[in-house]
Amino acid sequence: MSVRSWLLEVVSGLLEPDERAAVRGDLIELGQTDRAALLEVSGLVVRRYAAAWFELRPWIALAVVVVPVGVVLSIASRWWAYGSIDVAWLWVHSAEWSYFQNPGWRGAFVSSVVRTPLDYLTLVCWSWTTGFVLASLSHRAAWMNGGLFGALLFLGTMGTTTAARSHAVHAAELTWMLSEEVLPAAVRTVVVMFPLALGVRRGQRGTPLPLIRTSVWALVAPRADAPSHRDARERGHLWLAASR
Amino acid sequence: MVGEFEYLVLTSAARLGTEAYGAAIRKDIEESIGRHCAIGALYTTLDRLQSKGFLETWMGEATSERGGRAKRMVRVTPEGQRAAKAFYQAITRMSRGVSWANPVSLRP
Repeated sequence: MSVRSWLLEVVSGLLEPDERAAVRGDLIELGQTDRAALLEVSGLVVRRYAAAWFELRPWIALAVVVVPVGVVLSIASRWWAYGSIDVAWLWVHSAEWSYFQNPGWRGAFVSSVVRTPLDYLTLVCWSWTTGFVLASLSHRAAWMNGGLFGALLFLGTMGTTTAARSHAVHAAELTWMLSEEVLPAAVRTVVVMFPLALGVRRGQRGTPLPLIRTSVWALVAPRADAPSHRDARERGHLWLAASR
Repeated sequence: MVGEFEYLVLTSAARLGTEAYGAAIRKDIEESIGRHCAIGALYTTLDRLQSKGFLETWMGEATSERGGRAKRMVRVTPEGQRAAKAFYQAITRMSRGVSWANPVSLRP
């Protein structure tokens, strides 16, 4: 398959299934080359996606979901990525095997191991739900709104600092790039953007969510992260005690 | 009142009758007016005319000459015929008395 054929498949995939079949069939019947067909299909896709913004719903999605949730998740994802660095630094550099004879240390270790993934699970749930809502509010504008969400996610904290956090001490021990740039970017890509894309795809299917499974997730997900904030203070005290 | 391109699509679909679908309409328009007809313009116009109630469309059967892909068949509704007729009459009335509308003046 040539690059143009592959691109044609990708761009055609942005059309509704029936329209995709009709347009691709027309272009084959008219004997269009892959290059000409790619230009024709791209033109139709641009028209379709631009037309979506003549309605109110994509703008509502932008104002009510993309901007506020994008900013919140931008801050939360970086905050929790730095939190992970704190935890990793604490256990790698400060802990000794003898500490595990202390029940308090063992409890704190188990708590960290369990609750850090719960932080990320919460981000995954928020992101998937955001994608689903974007697609439900505006089917065709969902990917464009998703792109704007991504821009806010990655650029929302640009120029700000977390120097007031204890993380700054740890960052000196890790490399600046890893702690300040790479890990937050990785968290945002894997834990936010990927679930968001899955949520958009699920929302675009247009079929209702399964009632029982959705109800269970709706009850469990908001509580997954609740103990984490309490625990963050305890971890902070623990780190101070270890560093003395 | 329909627009110029909408009129072309309605007229072509009416002329093609049961054989009216995307590729056939595009070919007919290009042959009639001698200009390129973008598939994007055609399909968005079909949607617009359908939303106005001037056209009905449905998916036809898949054929091998189209790579097993179905056609989007088109039929002009009575409202579409009235709208096209109104446009034609308006253009005809509007053109009375102008030099390019007089067949004699067009002769070399």
